[in-house]
Amino acid sequence: MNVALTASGRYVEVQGGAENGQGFDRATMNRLLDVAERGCQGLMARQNEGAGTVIGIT
Amino acid sequence: MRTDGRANDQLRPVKVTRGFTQTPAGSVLWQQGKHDRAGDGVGDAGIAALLQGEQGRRMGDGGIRDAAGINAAAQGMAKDRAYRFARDGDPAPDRALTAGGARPFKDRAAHDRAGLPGAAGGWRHTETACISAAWVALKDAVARLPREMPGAMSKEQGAVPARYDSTYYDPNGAVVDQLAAVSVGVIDGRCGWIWIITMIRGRASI
Repeated sequence: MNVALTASGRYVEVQGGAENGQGFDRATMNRLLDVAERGCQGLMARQNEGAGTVIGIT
Repeated sequence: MRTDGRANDQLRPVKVTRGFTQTPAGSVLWQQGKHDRAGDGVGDAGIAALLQGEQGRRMGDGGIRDAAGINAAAQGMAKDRAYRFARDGDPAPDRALTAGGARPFKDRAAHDRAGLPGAAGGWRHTETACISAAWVALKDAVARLPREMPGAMSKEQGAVPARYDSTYYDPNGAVVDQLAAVSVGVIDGRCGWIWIITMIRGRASI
């Protein structure tokens, strides 16, 4: 499942599907979103390291 | 626990190279893990105009949205997927406010060598990388803007198109939010990021 999330906690994109032929339940969906949220927050923390400082002035 | 010792919800090491290419106002190479560049993403950002205040509100406050065919500064770059990270709302190219375009590396051979299947919905984690790259590129591009609009006309000089009105020139308020993306899945009954799944093909169920 693919998840794009903003820093303000809003979903930009959620897409996914079961590939095991059995589907998945709501609890699993919630767990996936929890994991995705932690992942996006980790990436945004990494994005913030140095972003927006002027480099390579020409 | 993954085969490399990381927890299921632990990110791969990330390396960020800013100023990756020279043409765009902002350009970033975002590398995740060690996948023979198959997981790398490049983000480029260009600035067309920055409008805030009443004019910005009148044009609409779309915030962050998916916007293919974005008006990035880098010419000739394939933009497989693009996001807008800043205030927008007017589809006219000359009214694009700030835009970040993202592209994954197009080295499919390297991708195949790394044994990376497509994730559910068609994403590969290179696409999550290029989204992060594009956001950092946009921040870098905005940071390079002058504090005052060069040669700008003011309202006192008469009626001028808003996009040339320095009243609405506000680089600091241009980026309205931040964006990141991951792919997640269930493997052996446990939730984790898709990078687990790509390494253990056939055991993923979502």
